[in-house]
Amino acid sequence: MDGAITARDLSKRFLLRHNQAVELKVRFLALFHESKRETVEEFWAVRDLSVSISKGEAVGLVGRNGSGKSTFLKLVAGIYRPTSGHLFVPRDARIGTMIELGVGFEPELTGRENVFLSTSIHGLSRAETEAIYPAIVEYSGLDHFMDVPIKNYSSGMHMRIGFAISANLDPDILLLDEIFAVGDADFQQQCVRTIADFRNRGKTILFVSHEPEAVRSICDRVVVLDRGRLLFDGAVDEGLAQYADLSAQHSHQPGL
Amino acid sequence: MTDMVDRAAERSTIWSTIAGLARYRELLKNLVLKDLKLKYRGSVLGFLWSLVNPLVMMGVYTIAFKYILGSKVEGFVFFLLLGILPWGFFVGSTNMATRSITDSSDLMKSVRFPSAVLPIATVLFNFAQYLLTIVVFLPLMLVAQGVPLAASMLLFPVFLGLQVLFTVGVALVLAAGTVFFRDVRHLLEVALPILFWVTPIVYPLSQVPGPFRPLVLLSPLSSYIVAYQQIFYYRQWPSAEVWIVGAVYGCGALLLGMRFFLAVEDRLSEQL
Repeated sequence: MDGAITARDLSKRFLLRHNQAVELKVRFLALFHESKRETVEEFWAVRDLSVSISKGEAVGLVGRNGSGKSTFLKLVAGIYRPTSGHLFVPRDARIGTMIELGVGFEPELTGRENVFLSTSIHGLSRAETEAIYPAIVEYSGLDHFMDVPIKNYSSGMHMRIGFAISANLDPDILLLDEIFAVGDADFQQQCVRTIADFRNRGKTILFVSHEPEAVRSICDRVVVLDRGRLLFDGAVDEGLAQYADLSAQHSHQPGL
Repeated sequence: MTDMVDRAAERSTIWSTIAGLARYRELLKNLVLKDLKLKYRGSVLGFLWSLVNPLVMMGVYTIAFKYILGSKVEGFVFFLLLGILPWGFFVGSTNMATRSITDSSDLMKSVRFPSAVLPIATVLFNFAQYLLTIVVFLPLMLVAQGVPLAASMLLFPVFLGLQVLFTVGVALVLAAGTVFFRDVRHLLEVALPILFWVTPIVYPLSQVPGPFRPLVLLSPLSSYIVAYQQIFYYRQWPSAEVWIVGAVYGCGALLLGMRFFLAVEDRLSEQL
Protein backbone atom coordinates (compact mmCIF):
# COMPACT_ATOMS: atom_id res chain seq x y z
CA MET A 1 0.00 0.00 0.00
CA ASP A 2 1.41 3.34 -0.96
CA GLY A 3 -1.37 5.53 0.32
CA ALA A 4 -0.51 9.16 0.03
CA ILE A 5 -3.38 10.25 2.24
CA THR A 6 -5.54 8.01 4.42
CA ALA A 7 -8.38 9.32 6.55
CA ARG A 8 -10.02 6.95 9.01
CA ASP A 9 -13.14 8.06 10.90
CA LEU A 10 -11.78 11.57 10.59
CA SER A 11 -13.77 14.29 12.33
CA LYS A 12 -13.24 17.98 12.84
CA ARG A 13 -15.42 19.95 15.19
CA PHE A 14 -15.48 23.72 15.33
CA LEU A 15 -16.98 25.58 18.22
CA LEU A 16 -19.05 28.43 16.88
CA ARG A 17 -19.11 31.00 19.61
CA HIS A 18 -22.02 33.34 19.46
CA ASN A 19 -21.35 36.58 21.31
CA GLN A 20 -17.78 35.46 21.56
CA ALA A 21 -16.14 37.21 24.46
CA VAL A 22 -12.75 38.20 23.12
CA GLU A 23 -13.01 41.33 25.22
CA LEU A 24 -13.13 41.36 28.99
CA LYS A 25 -15.88 43.99 28.89
CA VAL A 26 -18.18 41.54 27.16
CA ARG A 27 -17.37 38.82 29.68
CA PHE A 28 -18.25 41.22 32.44
CA LEU A 29 -21.53 42.30 30.85
CA ALA A 30 -22.42 38.66 30.35
CA LEU A 31 -22.62 38.27 34.10
CA PHE A 32 -25.71 40.46 34.09
CA HIS A 33 -27.24 40.16 30.63
CA GLU A 34 -28.50 36.86 29.38
CA SER A 35 -28.38 38.10 25.76
CA LYS A 36 -24.68 38.91 26.00
CA ARG A 37 -23.79 35.50 27.29
CA GLU A 38 -21.58 33.37 25.14
CA THR A 39 -23.27 30.36 23.68
CA VAL A 40 -21.24 27.67 22.05
CA GLU A 41 -22.60 25.69 19.17
CA GLU A 42 -20.85 22.63 17.89
CA PHE A 43 -20.28 22.43 14.20
CA TRP A 44 -18.87 19.25 12.72
CA ALA A 45 -17.18 20.38 9.52
CA VAL A 46 -15.93 16.86 8.81
CA ARG A 47 -17.67 13.85 10.32
CA ASP A 48 -16.47 10.24 10.40
CA LEU A 49 -14.78 10.54 7.06
CA SER A 50 -12.88 7.53 5.79
CA VAL A 51 -11.18 7.89 2.46
CA SER A 52 -7.93 6.68 1.01
CA ILE A 53 -6.05 8.44 -1.75
CA SER A 54 -3.09 6.79 -3.43
CA LYS A 55 0.06 8.43 -4.59
CA GLY A 56 -0.37 9.96 -8.03
CA GLU A 57 -4.14 10.13 -7.93
CA ALA A 58 -5.99 13.32 -8.83
CA VAL A 59 -9.11 13.48 -6.71
CA GLY A 60 -11.86 16.06 -7.05
CA LEU A 61 -13.61 17.11 -3.86
CA VAL A 62 -17.08 18.42 -4.54
CA GLY A 63 -19.95 19.41 -2.34
CA ARG A 64 -22.06 22.39 -1.46
CA ASN A 65 -20.73 25.28 0.60
CA GLY A 66 -19.98 24.17 4.13
CA SER A 67 -19.70 20.50 3.20
CA GLY A 68 -16.21 20.25 4.65
CA LYS A 69 -14.06 20.28 1.49
CA SER A 70 -11.82 23.15 2.49
CA THR A 71 -11.63 21.92 6.07
CA PHE A 72 -10.44 18.55 4.78
CA LEU A 73 -7.70 20.26 2.75
CA LYS A 74 -6.58 22.22 5.79
CA LEU A 75 -6.52 19.07 7.88
CA VAL A 76 -4.31 17.39 5.28
CA ALA A 77 -2.09 20.47 5.17
CA GLY A 78 -1.79 20.40 8.96
CA ILE A 79 -3.31 23.85 9.43
CA TYR A 80 -6.13 22.44 11.56
CA ARG A 81 -5.80 19.54 13.95
CA PRO A 82 -8.34 16.66 13.71
CA THR A 83 -10.79 16.42 16.60
CA SER A 84 -10.90 12.64 16.38
CA GLY A 85 -10.02 9.78 14.07
CA HIS A 86 -6.85 9.46 12.07
CA LEU A 87 -5.35 11.20 9.09
CA PHE A 88 -2.18 9.70 7.72
CA VAL A 89 0.08 11.61 5.38
CA PRO A 90 3.65 10.73 4.33
CA ARG A 91 6.06 12.13 6.88
CA ASP A 92 8.46 13.77 4.48
CA ALA A 93 6.07 14.75 1.73
CA ARG A 94 6.11 18.35 0.65
CA ILE A 95 2.55 19.52 0.73
CA GLY A 96 1.80 22.43 -1.56
CA THR A 97 -1.23 24.49 -0.67
CA MET A 98 -2.93 26.68 -3.21
CA ILE A 99 -5.67 27.67 -0.86
CA GLU A 100 -5.16 31.34 -1.28
CA LEU A 101 -2.76 32.78 -3.82
CA GLY A 102 -0.30 35.44 -2.86
CA VAL A 103 -1.11 35.32 0.83
CA GLY A 104 1.61 36.83 2.97
CA PHE A 105 2.68 39.30 0.29
CA GLU A 106 3.88 42.62 1.57
CA PRO A 107 2.56 45.43 -0.67
CA GLU A 108 5.53 47.74 -0.14
CA LEU A 109 8.13 45.15 -1.12
CA THR A 110 9.07 44.41 -4.72
CA GLY A 111 7.99 41.33 -6.63
CA ARG A 112 11.41 39.80 -6.19
CA GLU A 113 11.49 40.44 -2.46
CA ASN A 114 8.03 38.98 -2.11
CA VAL A 115 9.06 35.83 -3.97
CA PHE A 116 11.88 35.28 -1.48
CA LEU A 117 9.61 36.03 1.46
CA SER A 118 6.88 33.76 0.18
CA THR A 119 9.11 30.77 -0.52
CA SER A 120 10.65 31.05 2.93
CA ILE A 121 7.14 30.85 4.42
CA HIS A 122 7.00 27.47 2.69
CA GLY A 123 10.27 26.50 4.34
CA LEU A 124 12.70 27.00 1.46
CA SER A 125 16.25 28.15 2.06
CA ARG A 126 17.73 31.06 0.14
CA ALA A 127 19.76 28.75 -2.09
CA GLU A 128 16.67 26.68 -2.92
CA THR A 129 14.77 29.83 -3.83
CA GLU A 130 17.59 31.13 -6.00
CA ALA A 131 17.51 27.84 -7.89
CA ILE A 132 13.83 28.17 -8.79
CA TYR A 133 13.67 31.96 -9.05
CA PRO A 134 14.27 32.16 -12.83
CA ALA A 135 11.54 29.60 -13.39
CA ILE A 136 9.11 31.57 -11.22
CA VAL A 137 9.81 34.78 -13.12
CA GLU A 138 9.46 33.11 -16.49
CA TYR A 139 6.31 31.31 -15.47
CA SER A 140 4.67 34.49 -14.23
CA GLY A 141 5.67 36.47 -17.33
CA LEU A 142 6.36 39.46 -15.10
CA ASP A 143 10.04 39.81 -15.90
CA HIS A 144 9.85 43.60 -16.13
CA PHE A 145 7.92 44.04 -12.93
CA MET A 146 10.06 42.14 -10.47
CA ASP A 147 11.64 45.28 -9.03
CA VAL A 148 8.31 47.08 -8.74
CA PRO A 149 6.49 47.08 -5.39
CA ILE A 150 3.63 44.58 -5.35
CA LYS A 151 1.21 47.35 -4.37
CA ASN A 152 1.49 48.58 -7.98
CA TYR A 153 0.52 45.18 -9.40
CA SER A 154 -2.94 44.60 -10.81
CA SER A 155 -4.93 41.88 -9.09
CA GLY A 156 -4.24 39.63 -12.07
CA MET A 157 -0.49 40.12 -11.75
CA HIS A 158 -0.76 39.52 -8.04
CA MET A 159 -2.38 36.14 -8.66
CA ARG A 160 0.01 35.26 -11.45
CA ILE A 161 3.05 35.68 -9.26
CA GLY A 162 1.34 33.83 -6.41
CA PHE A 163 0.53 30.91 -8.66
CA ALA A 164 3.98 30.96 -10.24
CA ILE A 165 5.52 30.54 -6.79
CA SER A 166 3.19 27.69 -5.80
CA ALA A 167 3.67 25.93 -9.12
CA ASN A 168 7.45 25.95 -8.76
CA LEU A 169 7.64 24.71 -5.17
CA ASP A 170 7.48 21.17 -6.54
CA PRO A 171 5.20 19.62 -3.90
CA ASP A 172 4.51 15.89 -3.68
CA ILE A 173 0.92 16.54 -2.70
CA LEU A 174 -0.90 19.50 -4.17
CA LEU A 175 -3.96 20.94 -2.49
CA LEU A 176 -6.01 23.24 -4.69
CA ASP A 177 -8.95 25.23 -3.43
CA GLU A 178 -11.16 27.02 -5.95
CA ILE A 179 -8.29 28.66 -7.72
CA PHE A 180 -10.24 28.81 -10.96
CA ALA A 181 -12.74 31.17 -9.46
CA VAL A 182 -10.24 33.92 -10.10
CA GLY A 183 -8.23 35.14 -13.07
CA ASP A 184 -8.82 35.59 -16.78
CA ALA A 185 -9.06 32.86 -19.41
CA ASP A 186 -5.31 32.98 -20.06
CA PHE A 187 -4.52 32.46 -16.43
CA GLN A 188 -7.01 29.65 -16.11
CA GLN A 189 -5.49 27.85 -19.09
CA GLN A 190 -2.07 28.17 -17.57
CA CYS A 191 -3.43 26.68 -14.35
CA VAL A 192 -4.93 23.74 -16.19
CA ARG A 193 -1.67 23.10 -18.06
CA THR A 194 0.34 23.24 -14.86
CA ILE A 195 -1.97 20.89 -13.01
CA ALA A 196 -1.94 18.47 -15.94
CA ASP A 197 1.83 18.60 -15.80
CA PHE A 198 1.77 17.79 -12.08
CA ARG A 199 -0.47 14.85 -12.82
CA ASN A 200 1.82 13.52 -15.48
CA ARG A 201 4.69 13.68 -13.04
CA GLY A 202 2.82 11.43 -10.63
CA LYS A 203 1.99 14.00 -7.97
CA THR A 204 -1.04 13.51 -5.77
CA ILE A 205 -3.66 16.18 -6.33
CA LEU A 206 -6.64 17.12 -4.20
CA PHE A 207 -8.83 19.52 -6.09
CA VAL A 208 -11.74 21.42 -4.60
CA SER A 209 -14.03 22.97 -7.16
CA HIS A 210 -17.62 23.77 -7.97
CA GLU A 211 -17.01 23.58 -11.68
CA PRO A 212 -17.79 20.20 -13.25
CA GLU A 213 -15.70 20.97 -16.34
CA ALA A 214 -12.59 21.71 -14.34
CA VAL A 215 -13.06 18.56 -12.27
CA ARG A 216 -13.58 16.46 -15.38
CA SER A 217 -10.44 17.76 -17.04
CA ILE A 218 -8.21 17.22 -14.03
CA CYS A 219 -9.49 14.41 -11.85
CA ASP A 220 -9.70 10.67 -12.23
CA ARG A 221 -11.87 10.21 -9.18
CA VAL A 222 -14.48 12.24 -7.33
CA VAL A 223 -15.36 12.39 -3.66
CA VAL A 224 -18.67 14.03 -2.82
CA LEU A 225 -19.05 15.47 0.66
CA ASP A 226 -22.24 16.62 2.28
CA ARG A 227 -22.37 18.20 5.72
CA GLY A 228 -18.97 16.79 6.51
CA ARG A 229 -19.88 13.23 5.60
CA LEU A 230 -18.82 11.12 2.67
CA LEU A 231 -21.68 10.78 0.21
CA PHE A 232 -19.92 9.25 -2.75
CA ASP A 233 -16.48 8.06 -3.71
CA GLY A 234 -15.81 6.81 -7.21
CA ALA A 235 -15.93 7.58 -10.92
CA VAL A 236 -15.88 11.19 -12.03
CA ASP A 237 -19.08 11.28 -14.07
CA GLU A 238 -21.10 9.44 -11.49
CA GLY A 239 -19.79 11.68 -8.72
CA LEU A 240 -20.55 14.84 -10.62
CA ALA A 241 -24.06 13.56 -11.32
CA GLN A 242 -24.55 12.94 -7.60
CA TYR A 243 -23.36 16.43 -6.87
CA ALA A 244 -25.71 17.90 -9.47
CA ASP A 245 -28.63 15.97 -7.90
CA LEU A 246 -27.66 17.22 -4.50
CA SER A 247 -27.56 20.83 -5.65
CA ALA A 248 -30.86 20.47 -7.48
CA GLN A 249 -32.56 18.90 -4.45
CA HIS A 250 -31.56 21.71 -2.20
CA SER A 251 -32.36 24.50 -4.59
CA HIS A 252 -35.95 23.14 -4.74
CA GLN A 253 -36.32 22.97 -1.03
CA PRO A 254 -37.87 26.16 0.20
CA GLY A 255 -36.24 27.75 3.18
CA LEU A 256 -32.82 26.27 2.63
CA MET B 1 5.35 1.46 2.74
CA THR B 2 6.42 5.04 3.20
CA ASP B 3 6.79 6.49 6.65
CA MET B 4 3.45 7.99 7.62
CA VAL B 5 2.51 10.56 10.21
CA ASP B 6 -0.93 10.82 11.82
CA ARG B 7 -2.13 14.42 11.82
CA ALA B 8 -4.34 13.59 14.80
CA ALA B 9 -1.39 12.44 16.88
CA GLU B 10 1.07 15.19 16.00
CA ARG B 11 2.14 17.03 19.10
CA SER B 12 4.54 19.92 19.24
CA THR B 13 7.14 19.77 21.94
CA ILE B 14 9.69 22.36 22.91
CA TRP B 15 12.30 20.42 20.94
CA SER B 16 10.20 20.03 17.83
CA THR B 17 9.44 23.76 17.99
CA ILE B 18 13.12 24.60 18.22
CA ALA B 19 13.84 22.25 15.32
CA GLY B 20 11.02 23.90 13.34
CA LEU B 21 12.40 27.36 14.04
CA ALA B 22 15.84 26.23 12.94
CA ARG B 23 14.39 24.89 9.72
CA TYR B 24 12.51 28.15 9.12
CA ARG B 25 15.44 30.42 9.97
CA GLU B 26 15.31 31.83 6.44
CA LEU B 27 11.74 32.96 7.12
CA LEU B 28 12.80 34.46 10.44
CA LYS B 29 15.56 36.38 8.68
CA ASN B 30 13.24 37.53 5.90
CA LEU B 31 10.60 38.76 8.34
CA VAL B 32 13.18 40.81 10.22
CA LEU B 33 14.59 42.22 6.97
CA LYS B 34 11.07 42.99 5.75
CA ASP B 35 10.34 45.09 8.83
CA LEU B 36 13.68 46.89 8.54
CA LYS B 37 13.05 47.64 4.85
CA LEU B 38 9.49 48.79 5.48
CA LYS B 39 10.68 51.07 8.22
CA TYR B 40 13.45 52.79 6.31
CA ARG B 41 12.53 52.55 2.65
CA GLY B 42 11.28 55.82 1.24
CA SER B 43 12.31 57.92 4.20
CA VAL B 44 15.04 60.46 3.55
CA LEU B 45 16.71 60.25 6.94
CA GLY B 46 16.18 56.50 7.18
CA PHE B 47 18.06 55.00 10.05
CA LEU B 48 18.70 58.42 11.61
CA TRP B 49 15.08 58.39 12.75
CA SER B 50 15.91 55.53 15.09
CA LEU B 51 18.43 57.79 16.77
CA VAL B 52 16.03 60.72 17.05
CA ASN B 53 13.59 59.01 19.38
CA PRO B 54 16.11 58.10 22.11
CA LEU B 55 17.71 61.54 21.75
CA VAL B 56 14.41 63.31 22.33
CA MET B 57 13.55 61.05 25.27
CA MET B 58 16.93 61.65 26.81
CA GLY B 59 16.64 65.40 26.30
CA VAL B 60 13.24 65.54 28.00
CA TYR B 61 14.19 63.34 30.94
CA THR B 62 17.47 65.17 31.45
CA ILE B 63 15.67 68.51 31.66
CA ALA B 64 13.06 67.09 34.00
CA PHE B 65 15.31 65.15 36.34
CA LYS B 66 18.59 66.98 36.29
CA TYR B 67 17.53 70.59 35.88
CA ILE B 68 14.06 70.65 37.43
CA LEU B 69 14.15 67.91 40.06
CA GLY B 70 17.89 68.30 40.63
CA SER B 71 19.01 64.68 40.35
CA LYS B 72 22.40 64.16 41.98
CA VAL B 73 23.40 61.44 39.52
CA GLU B 74 26.64 62.46 37.82
CA GLY B 75 26.74 62.05 34.08
CA PHE B 76 22.95 61.74 34.11
CA VAL B 77 22.68 61.54 30.32
CA PHE B 78 25.03 58.56 30.21
CA PHE B 79 23.18 56.86 33.06
CA LEU B 80 19.83 57.46 31.34
CA LEU B 81 21.04 56.11 28.02
CA LEU B 82 21.87 52.74 29.55
CA GLY B 83 18.26 52.37 30.69
CA ILE B 84 16.28 54.11 27.97
CA LEU B 85 17.66 52.10 25.04
CA PRO B 86 16.94 48.61 26.45
CA TRP B 87 13.59 49.90 27.69
CA GLY B 88 12.74 51.05 24.15
CA PHE B 89 13.68 47.59 22.88
CA PHE B 90 11.24 45.96 25.31
CA VAL B 91 8.38 48.37 24.57
CA GLY B 92 8.82 48.07 20.81
CA SER B 93 9.00 44.28 20.96
CA THR B 94 5.96 43.77 23.16
CA ASN B 95 3.79 46.23 21.24
CA MET B 96 4.61 44.64 17.90
CA ALA B 97 4.42 41.08 19.21
CA THR B 98 0.87 41.63 20.44
CA ARG B 99 -0.28 42.19 16.87
CA SER B 100 2.09 39.75 15.19
CA ILE B 101 -0.26 36.77 14.92
CA THR B 102 -3.61 38.55 14.65
CA ASP B 103 -2.25 40.65 11.76
CA SER B 104 -1.21 37.51 9.89
CA SER B 105 -4.50 35.64 10.12
CA ASP B 106 -4.70 34.98 6.35
CA LEU B 107 -1.28 33.42 6.42
CA MET B 108 -2.06 31.36 9.51
CA LYS B 109 -5.16 29.97 7.80
CA SER B 110 -3.57 28.99 4.53
CA VAL B 111 0.00 27.87 5.10
CA ARG B 112 1.48 25.61 7.74
CA PHE B 113 4.61 27.01 9.35
CA PRO B 114 5.83 27.34 12.94
CA SER B 115 3.76 30.31 14.05
CA ALA B 116 6.17 31.15 16.88
CA VAL B 117 8.29 32.63 14.08
CA LEU B 118 6.00 35.66 13.98
CA PRO B 119 6.43 37.02 17.53
CA ILE B 120 10.09 35.99 17.60
CA ALA B 121 10.73 37.94 14.38
CA THR B 122 9.24 41.09 15.92
CA VAL B 123 11.56 40.74 18.93
CA LEU B 124 14.57 40.23 16.68
CA PHE B 125 13.61 43.23 14.53
CA ASN B 126 13.47 45.44 17.61
CA PHE B 127 16.67 43.89 18.87
CA ALA B 128 18.40 44.74 15.59
CA GLN B 129 17.29 48.35 15.94
CA TYR B 130 18.44 48.42 19.56
CA LEU B 131 21.86 47.10 18.57
CA LEU B 132 22.18 49.71 15.83
CA THR B 133 21.38 52.55 18.21
CA ILE B 134 23.67 51.22 20.92
CA VAL B 135 26.52 50.83 18.44
CA VAL B 136 26.18 54.55 17.73
CA PHE B 137 25.54 55.90 21.22
CA LEU B 138 27.63 53.70 23.48
CA PRO B 139 31.10 54.45 22.02
CA LEU B 140 30.21 58.16 21.82
CA MET B 141 29.26 58.17 25.48
CA LEU B 142 32.25 56.14 26.60
CA VAL B 143 34.53 58.64 24.87
CA ALA B 144 32.62 61.71 26.08
CA GLN B 145 32.65 60.43 29.67
CA GLY B 146 36.27 59.32 29.44
CA VAL B 147 35.33 55.82 30.55
CA PRO B 148 38.24 53.37 30.18
CA LEU B 149 37.48 49.97 28.70
CA ALA B 150 37.16 47.23 31.30
CA ALA B 151 37.03 43.44 31.25
CA SER B 152 33.54 43.51 32.82
CA MET B 153 32.25 45.00 29.55
CA LEU B 154 32.70 41.58 27.97
CA LEU B 155 29.64 40.53 29.99
CA PHE B 156 27.41 42.99 28.14
CA PRO B 157 26.43 40.45 25.44
CA VAL B 158 25.52 37.90 28.12
CA PHE B 159 22.92 40.21 29.66
CA LEU B 160 21.76 41.32 26.23
CA GLY B 161 21.16 37.65 25.45
CA LEU B 162 19.25 37.11 28.68
CA GLN B 163 17.09 40.16 27.96
CA VAL B 164 16.32 38.78 24.48
CA LEU B 165 15.28 35.42 26.01
CA PHE B 166 13.07 37.22 28.50
CA THR B 167 11.49 39.37 25.80
CA VAL B 168 10.87 36.38 23.51
CA GLY B 169 9.09 34.59 26.36
CA VAL B 170 6.85 37.59 27.01
CA ALA B 171 6.26 38.11 23.29
CA LEU B 172 5.07 34.51 22.80
CA VAL B 173 2.47 34.92 25.54
CA LEU B 174 1.30 38.31 24.28
CA ALA B 175 1.06 37.20 20.65
CA ALA B 176 -0.94 34.04 21.36
CA GLY B 177 -2.91 35.62 24.20
CA THR B 178 -4.18 38.40 21.92
CA VAL B 179 -5.76 35.81 19.63
CA PHE B 180 -8.04 34.75 22.50
CA PHE B 181 -8.35 38.06 24.32
CA ARG B 182 -8.13 41.31 22.40
CA ASP B 183 -7.78 43.08 25.75
CA VAL B 184 -4.16 41.99 26.00
CA ARG B 185 -3.22 45.01 23.91
CA HIS B 186 -4.96 47.39 26.32
CA LEU B 187 -3.62 45.64 29.39
CA LEU B 188 -0.14 46.10 27.96
CA GLU B 189 -0.81 49.81 27.43
CA VAL B 190 -1.64 50.12 31.12
CA ALA B 191 1.18 47.89 32.33
CA LEU B 192 4.07 49.48 30.44
CA PRO B 193 4.01 52.93 32.11
CA ILE B 194 3.81 51.27 35.54
CA LEU B 195 6.71 49.04 34.60
CA PHE B 196 8.70 52.07 33.47
CA TRP B 197 8.53 53.75 36.87
CA VAL B 198 9.31 50.62 38.89
CA THR B 199 12.43 50.03 36.80
CA PRO B 200 15.54 52.03 37.77
CA ILE B 201 15.82 53.94 34.49
CA VAL B 202 15.53 57.59 35.52
CA TYR B 203 16.77 56.97 39.08
CA PRO B 204 19.56 54.72 40.39
CA LEU B 205 18.67 51.62 42.40
CA SER B 206 20.77 53.01 45.26
CA GLN B 207 18.27 55.87 45.69
CA VAL B 208 15.40 53.49 46.34
CA PRO B 209 14.67 53.22 50.09
CA GLY B 210 16.20 50.02 51.50
CA PRO B 211 13.07 47.91 52.07
CA PHE B 212 11.79 48.55 48.54
CA ARG B 213 15.07 47.89 46.82
CA PRO B 214 14.61 44.10 46.41
CA LEU B 215 11.10 44.73 45.05
CA VAL B 216 12.37 47.17 42.44
CA LEU B 217 15.12 44.75 41.50
CA LEU B 218 12.46 42.07 41.04
CA SER B 219 10.46 44.11 38.55
CA PRO B 220 10.84 42.32 35.22
CA LEU B 221 13.37 44.52 33.44
CA SER B 222 15.37 45.83 36.39
CA SER B 223 18.04 43.15 36.52
CA TYR B 224 19.06 43.75 32.89
CA ILE B 225 19.10 47.52 33.14
CA VAL B 226 20.94 47.48 36.49
CA ALA B 227 23.48 45.09 34.92
CA TYR B 228 24.11 47.52 32.03
CA GLN B 229 24.52 50.36 34.53
CA GLN B 230 26.90 48.34 36.70
CA ILE B 231 28.98 47.31 33.70
CA PHE B 232 29.32 50.69 31.99
CA TYR B 233 28.36 53.40 34.46
CA TYR B 234 29.69 52.06 37.75
CA ARG B 235 32.42 50.02 36.03
CA GLN B 236 31.79 46.98 38.23
CA TRP B 237 31.19 43.32 37.66
CA PRO B 238 27.44 42.63 37.72
CA SER B 239 26.40 41.79 41.28
CA ALA B 240 25.20 38.35 42.35
CA GLU B 241 21.53 39.42 42.73
CA VAL B 242 21.54 40.82 39.22
CA TRP B 243 22.98 37.59 37.84
CA ILE B 244 20.42 35.44 39.61
CA VAL B 245 17.34 37.55 38.86
CA GLY B 246 18.40 38.15 35.26
CA ALA B 247 19.10 34.49 34.54
CA VAL B 248 15.96 33.19 36.29
CA TYR B 249 13.72 35.75 34.56
CA GLY B 250 15.31 35.20 31.16
CA CYS B 251 15.19 31.40 31.17
CA GLY B 252 11.95 31.25 33.16
CA ALA B 253 10.05 33.60 30.86
CA LEU B 254 11.28 31.76 27.79
CA LEU B 255 10.28 28.38 29.19
CA LEU B 256 6.87 29.50 30.43
CA GLY B 257 6.26 31.48 27.25
CA MET B 258 7.01 28.47 25.08
CA ARG B 259 4.86 26.16 27.20
CA PHE B 260 1.94 28.57 27.00
CA PHE B 261 2.44 28.97 23.27
CA LEU B 262 2.60 25.20 22.71
CA ALA B 263 -0.55 24.69 24.77
CA VAL B 264 -2.63 26.99 22.56
CA GLU B 265 -0.78 26.78 19.23
CA ASP B 266 -3.16 24.23 17.70
CA ARG B 267 -6.15 26.43 18.28
CA LEU B 268 -4.67 29.62 16.86
CA SER B 269 -5.58 29.04 13.21
CA GLU B 270 -9.22 28.24 13.95
CA GLN B 271 -9.62 30.97 16.54
CA LEU B 272 -8.42 33.73 14.19
